[in-house]
Amino acid sequence: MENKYATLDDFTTKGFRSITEELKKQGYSLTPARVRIILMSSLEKIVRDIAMRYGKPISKKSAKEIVKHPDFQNRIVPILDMVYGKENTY
Amino acid sequence: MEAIANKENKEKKRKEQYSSLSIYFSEVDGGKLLTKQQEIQLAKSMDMARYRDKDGKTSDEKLWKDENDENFDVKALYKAKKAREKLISSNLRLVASVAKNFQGKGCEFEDLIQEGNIGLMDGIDRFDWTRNLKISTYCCWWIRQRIDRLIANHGRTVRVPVHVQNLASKLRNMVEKFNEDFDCNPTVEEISESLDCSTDMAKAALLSVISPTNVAIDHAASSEGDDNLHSYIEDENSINPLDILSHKELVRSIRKIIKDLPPRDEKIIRLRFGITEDPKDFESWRITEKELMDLEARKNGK
Repeated sequence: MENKYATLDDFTTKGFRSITEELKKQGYSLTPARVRIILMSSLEKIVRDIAMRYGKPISKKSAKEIVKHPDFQNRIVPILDMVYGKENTY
Repeated sequence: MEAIANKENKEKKRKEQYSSLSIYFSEVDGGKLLTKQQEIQLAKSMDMARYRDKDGKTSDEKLWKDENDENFDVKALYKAKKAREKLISSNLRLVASVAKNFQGKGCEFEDLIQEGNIGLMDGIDRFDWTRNLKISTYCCWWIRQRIDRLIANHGRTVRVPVHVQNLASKLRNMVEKFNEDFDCNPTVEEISESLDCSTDMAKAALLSVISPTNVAIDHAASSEGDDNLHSYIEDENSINPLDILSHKELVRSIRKIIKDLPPRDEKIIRLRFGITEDPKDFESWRITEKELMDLEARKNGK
């Protein structure tokens, strides 16, 4: 966050390289760059869909910018934890 | 011995019978009023021992001459102190009579008398017999001033500064006059212009006029029902139920989006954000009947 982008140290995550290796074990053949593209487009889908649900549709470009923003990446972690039932803050 | 015991018993009974206030009045009423000549004479004796600086002015901090001063006389000092006591004790009734006019303004009558007595002492210490005034005329203002200040500072549960109270009383008069002249209420700007103060001060004065009394937080909010005023005060630390609902809605939406992603993409998101465990079962996520029908329709390629 100090460098204005989310780094691996900010939360317990896996790098694209280790994600590629992990997926390779499960039979998926991907490159780290491809993994990054897939992640970004998945997050973009989430962002655009949420924006649509709240009645404020956004362009693909804006969604891309939001997804890249370190604040978004930091804040999505607890939400994903709740999505996967790991944590329930309420 | 018996006579003494009887006297003590009578005294006890008397004290029980009457309140401290009635005893005070009975004691105060005993003294005779002083004539103007007597007052001047006593004031003159006070003046003999009164401290004066080189310019002949008295001091607020130092009342009497002491050994370091010129023409210090122990006898004169003793006489002056006696004269002061006499002047005070002879005018205690004046305090009670002034204090009566301030009853019912938020302070006990005993407190009003107490404060008025201090005002009387102030007045007597500052009394100048050369002005040819009676002590009651001069001290009355000092007594009123002390009592006024007491009410201003302690008459309300929440203290309103004296200058705001003065402004509020000016405001009342101004609003009355405005109503008579124009048959409507003045605006805040008009008030601030008329009273020559800022709009904030005018608002503060208006508030103190509109809500002169305080209400307890346990006070019933309405004549019907048992709810108190504190049940209407927002708890800033609590989470707004609407926020909870919108948060749950958000989680539900994201769940739905992730569920629709291909398994590979979903896995990438999980691995990237440190959720290493596989979700137990997507079926365990709440799926509504409508969602189920959608899924089936998609499965069938519709």
